[in-house]
Amino acid sequence: MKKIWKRVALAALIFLVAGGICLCVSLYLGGSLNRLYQNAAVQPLLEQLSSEHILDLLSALLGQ
Amino acid sequence: MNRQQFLVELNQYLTFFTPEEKAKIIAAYGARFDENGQDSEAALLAELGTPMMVAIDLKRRKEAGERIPAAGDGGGGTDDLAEGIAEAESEDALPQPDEAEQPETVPSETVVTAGESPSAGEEKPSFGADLVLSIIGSTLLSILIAAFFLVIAAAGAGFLVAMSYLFLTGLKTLLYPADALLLFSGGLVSLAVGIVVLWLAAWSAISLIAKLFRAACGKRIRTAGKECGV
Repeated sequence: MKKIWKRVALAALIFLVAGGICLCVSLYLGGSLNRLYQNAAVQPLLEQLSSEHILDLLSALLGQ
Repeated sequence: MNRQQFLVELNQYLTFFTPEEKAKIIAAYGARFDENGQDSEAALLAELGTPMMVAIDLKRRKEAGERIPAAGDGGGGTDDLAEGIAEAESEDALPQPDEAEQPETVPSETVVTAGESPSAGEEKPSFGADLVLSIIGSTLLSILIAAFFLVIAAAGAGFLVAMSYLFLTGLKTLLYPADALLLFSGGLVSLAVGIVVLWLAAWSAISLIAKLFRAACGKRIRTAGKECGV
């Protein structure tokens, strides 16, 4: 169990560091959330991941 | 095993007794060995069984209150305990021949035997029922625990789904590297969070359910062992 914990923690750390590097590079290249929202290709994804959509999904799952 | 080894081992197993009681018990067994002599030492060892079994039996007797009243009677308790052990081995529960002590020991023993026989009769059949009940309770509780952690695991899985969406969209928007990297970073963070949450849910559920069943079954088995004098 401890070994698996170590591996999971290590993998998560690596992914977080990689994510942080990607974010830094993106910001360095001039990327921002406002610019991302203006990208038409990303619109469907942003809608999917919006809080309203997630809440709708949850309420549909819970049968409300 | 010889007499010395028996007494040394017995001393190690008498963890439930005070040092004074321990010393008295060891002295009592030493006296028994002396009485029997060296020739019948092997026979006595065979009769007594292993030191662990003797210690368990003594502990059971102490818990049942059989020997403790005799041992706790002040200074006179020394001989009482020693004799009591000797008596216990020969399955005789007769009180001291002393006239002054007789009224004290006789009622205590009668109370013990009176309280013991019905409980011994009641506990044995209830053991199986107890075990079944505790297993049913553990199963119901495990279902609740599993349901709770399943919800948490679903949240973790949600993060992984979000990660896959973010990666796919990132690949679609490779023409805009800044946006793609932003999406990749979100995907990587989602992946890290998803993995941790999923593993945390799985580990917590498994360890909690395992502990629950171990506690339920282990306790019953230990109780059964005590009842059987093993």
